[in-house]
Order: sequence, then structure tokens, then C-alpha cells
Amino acid sequence: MAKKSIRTMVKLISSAKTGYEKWFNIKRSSPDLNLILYDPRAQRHCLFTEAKKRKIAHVTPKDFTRSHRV
Amino acid sequence: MSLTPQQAFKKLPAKLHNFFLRYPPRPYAQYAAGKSTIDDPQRNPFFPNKNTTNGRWYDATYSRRRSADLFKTAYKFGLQDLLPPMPRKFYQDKFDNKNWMRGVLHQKKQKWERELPAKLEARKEAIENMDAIILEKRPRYKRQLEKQQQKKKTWF
Repeated sequence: MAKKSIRTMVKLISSAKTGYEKWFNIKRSSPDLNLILYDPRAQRHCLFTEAKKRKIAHVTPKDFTRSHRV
Repeated sequence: MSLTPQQAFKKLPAKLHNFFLRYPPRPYAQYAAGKSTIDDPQRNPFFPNKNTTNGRWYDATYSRRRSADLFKTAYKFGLQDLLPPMPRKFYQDKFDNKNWMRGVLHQKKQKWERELPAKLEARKEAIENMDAIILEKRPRYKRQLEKQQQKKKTWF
């Protein structure tokens, strides 16, 4: 198998259930994509969410409080 | 010069004439309205009849094709009511009271045809509730909605 590349193709599907979809080429490490785009079949802006689940390395958010300090 | 009933009867087509000789019309003989037994003197020649000794069914003396032929010939002379009751319907009676097949009345349809109403309903509902769906993932969309309300133009 080829080595995994940095970027991947994801399919975003309209939450208006019209079957309208859009493809994006994003970084493999980026979180789940959901965008508000125009759906011509629904004739309005709708939420587009990823069709398939993909593995994302979970990044712990940086802690800027000083709770770790003594 | 008009014919006597006996003369008219002799002039009927051979098939009909011979049928009435064997199976006299209703006032002179009675016939069962449907299936019966072979021993029954009033058995109907157009229906299958059962032999009670061996439990077997015997086909009608006159096949569907022949019975239809008899009916249509009798209809020409207006004698269709003199024949014994038939399992079949013809002409106006058939047009009014046809036995439709189950599959014709309650069509199964294709899978996509059965699922289509629900699919369209779900789509309609999703479009109606789209603002709420967007707000769930993007709480800041509320600002956009407020802006849209402000910009909204009315006729007055």
C-alpha cells in the first residue's frame, strides 16, 4: 500500500437530505468539517457535514491556566 | 307473418338449440347458483362439481370458452337470462362489477416508489428546520439570522 499523504478528500453532504454533496481536499489532521453552503436543490444555505467518519488524532487543547504549576 | 315460440326455437343456432335441449331454461328447470355435487339434479354445467364418494372435483361440462360463446350467442337473441347462472360476467355487468386481481388493486410497486413519500417528507422537514440544525453546530449563526431579519423587506 502507498504511504498515506498529508491531505485527504472528504465528501460533505447536505443536511437538507436533498442528496447534494460537495468534495473538499483537506488536511488529514484537521477536525470534522461542517460548513454552511448553498444547496441549489433546497434553494437556501444549509449545513454540510462529513458523510464518512475518519480517524483524527485527538489533540489535547493547550492549557493556559496555571493549574499545573505548584 | 310472426313465428310461434316453437318455430323460433328451431331457428336458434345449433349450439344454443342443443344446449337448451339438454339444459332447459329457468322456469322449467332449476340450477344451483354455484359449485355443487355430481349427484345433485340441479347441478350447474358451468361450474365444477364434486364427487362425494372419492372427494374429487370434476371440471365444468362447458369450458369457459364454450360458456362465453353460448352467452354471447344467447345475448344476440336476448335469451341470456334463460341460461343457468354463470361464473363469468360480460359486457355492462363486467364493466360495472369486474373482479380485479389483488395485485392490480393493491399494487406492490418498486421499493423506491414505496419509500418515496417518506423520503420527500423527511426532506421537507429538514428544510423547514434548517435554521435550528445550523444553530446546533454553529451557535453564532444566531447573529446571521438577526441580520437577515433586519434586512428583510416588506411590501409596506
